Amino acid sequence: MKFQKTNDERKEYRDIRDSTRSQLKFVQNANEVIKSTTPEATTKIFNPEKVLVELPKKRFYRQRAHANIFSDKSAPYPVGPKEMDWSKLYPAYYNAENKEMTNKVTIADIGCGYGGLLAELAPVFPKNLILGMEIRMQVTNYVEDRIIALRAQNSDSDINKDSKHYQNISVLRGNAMKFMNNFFEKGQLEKIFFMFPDPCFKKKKFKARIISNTLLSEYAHCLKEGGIIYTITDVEDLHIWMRTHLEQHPLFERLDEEWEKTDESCQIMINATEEGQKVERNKGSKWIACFRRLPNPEII
Amino acid sequence: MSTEFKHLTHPFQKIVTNKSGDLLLSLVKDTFQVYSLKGEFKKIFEYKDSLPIVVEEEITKTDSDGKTQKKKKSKVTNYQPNKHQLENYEFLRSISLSRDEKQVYIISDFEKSVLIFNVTYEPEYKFELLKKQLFPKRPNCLTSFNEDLYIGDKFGDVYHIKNNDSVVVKPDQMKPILGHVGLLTNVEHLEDDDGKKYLLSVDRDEHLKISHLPQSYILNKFIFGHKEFISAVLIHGDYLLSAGGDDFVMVSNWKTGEVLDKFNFIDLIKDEDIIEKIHHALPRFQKEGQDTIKEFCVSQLYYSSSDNKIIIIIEGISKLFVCSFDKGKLVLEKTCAVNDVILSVAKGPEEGSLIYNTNNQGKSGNLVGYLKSGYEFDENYTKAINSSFQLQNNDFKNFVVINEEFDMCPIYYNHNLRKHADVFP
Repeated sequence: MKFQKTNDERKEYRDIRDSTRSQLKFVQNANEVIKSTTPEATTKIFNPEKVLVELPKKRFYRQRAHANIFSDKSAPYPVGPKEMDWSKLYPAYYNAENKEMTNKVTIADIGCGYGGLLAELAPVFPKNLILGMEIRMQVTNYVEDRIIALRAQNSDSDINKDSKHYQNISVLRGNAMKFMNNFFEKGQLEKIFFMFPDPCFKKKKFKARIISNTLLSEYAHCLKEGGIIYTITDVEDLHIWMRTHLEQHPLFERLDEEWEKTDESCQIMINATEEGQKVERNKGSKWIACFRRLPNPEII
Repeated sequence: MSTEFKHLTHPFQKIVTNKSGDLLLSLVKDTFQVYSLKGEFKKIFEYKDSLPIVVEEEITKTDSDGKTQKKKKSKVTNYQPNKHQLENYEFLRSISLSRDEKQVYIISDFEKSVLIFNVTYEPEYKFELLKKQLFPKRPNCLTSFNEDLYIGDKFGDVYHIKNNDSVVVKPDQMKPILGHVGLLTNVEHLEDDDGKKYLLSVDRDEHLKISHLPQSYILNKFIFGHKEFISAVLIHGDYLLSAGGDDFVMVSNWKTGEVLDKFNFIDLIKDEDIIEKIHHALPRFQKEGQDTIKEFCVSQLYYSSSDNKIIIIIEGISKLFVCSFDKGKLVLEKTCAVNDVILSVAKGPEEGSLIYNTNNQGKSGNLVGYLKSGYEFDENYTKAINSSFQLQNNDFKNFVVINEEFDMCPIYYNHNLRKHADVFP
């Protein structure tokens, strides 16, 4: 009976959030939409003020922590980077006159989870567009709701002057391992984060790990020269795997601990995110490795 | 043809001919056969692939006491077919000739391997198995350049081996040179004017990826434009033609990455060509109350060098679509209808002639068909070649197809690559 109750509660919460999200997802300022809608239409929107003031509750969005990356049944993806429509994800950076984006995405968080890093990075890099990619449906929904609320709470700020406007972060459901290069052009990204990825412990599952020799070549393609790959995990085996694969790859060079201490985003990655705090609570250890993208060697 | 000659009811699933057109290399079920296309169409060579046989070995051990112990130990190779593989029996998947025609490469399902045969010409054709190279995952496509062999597997990895080395590398020691996260359908070796080498790898997720060689970790470019899987590619100078589950054949320039043309072939298919079993989408993909969804895919793109034409073969269709190709534009020139469903085409023995293999399920009972120069069906030649092939296979019982589902290897396999992404959002 207890479970039944929680299930019903969750379903109700999700339904309300779903209908809210479908209307506010691609909107720059949710407050204006709510003001302009008639009272009849707002009945379906769950207590708009509460939605906008209160961040979504994580417990209603829980989902199994693994996803089959080889499956075809995943999210839509563009045919190529030129066909990708970024204007919906970053409406504040869309120039309606010449129908072009003013900025390009330069920071990607692959497997962004509940979006803790996105929210932390947004005020630090107010001029950069930051994209989170997540394969799990419910988790992506949570991050979308979170961004709607964050944007609405900070709707007064100016994207050019203030740092806390959250117009520069967005999330996308997709399979980055398969379709990374369908989203980003050659050399577009400056930073790629791989935070607490699925460890895929079984030997049979090693190919499903997000870092591998063959996949690194694809990440290197969309990362510009001097761009940085950040990895962090609480599993030592996975850390060794990621580190050795990155070290062996001719296009990457390891950055030392001194650099890690001075780099702002690296410190945020270690201390600020949900998964990082969870590891801290459980007194686990965190393994960090950052790598710089080297220029392509001369083609033989 | 009269039925008494029909010993070979299994179709040739793949055929390849050499440049001079006097050798026909074919795959039937689990057997590789070579025929001469001159004179009496004699069978020159045959090789039957199979799973390793379990050998029981007697091991004699001498103890410290001087007593000898005999132990029976069954020795098996590392490969054990699972239940699924035993039920859907295995077969030879594809065949190709090296550019200098001194080697034949066959992709075999048995033990997930590639067979390399050496061919010697003097005084007569002789085929010799150099090695059977096992792979960690099932190989699906292959390309060769001089001494290098690049093999793409169904797991998305590309491996590189030397073709003149008879030492078999252990599968678990192999390292991929590049990889995708999806089934690879084609690999091609490319070379530009400066002598720089590239590898094109094509996967089911619509990617055309070009990487540098031997620095395979540097990606050159992706060519985007497909919305469905890609099953056939053709390199023609600077141009790259690719097709698959989409309604079009895409022409692009692989050096610049520019998409030049999309040639729509869907209108060329008429109602009478449609075979329900192959072209209608499965019932679970049909939408109620709407027209039946029909699906077509290209199984081969063939370049005919004698008249500079591109031939498009569509899976399950008994027509050849002959197109002229000029400055990156495809224009339909001629549609050539034959009696049987065409599986693939290859160069024939005469200048401008073509030879094709059929599904062998039609009324005519032809295994292969012959088209004279100008794409005209030659009945006499076809008859002669078929009766000769049938006669030379009269003692093979396992080529007789009684039940199509169990006795025949799949010959229309490309349409199974379709994802039906709209059904699974």
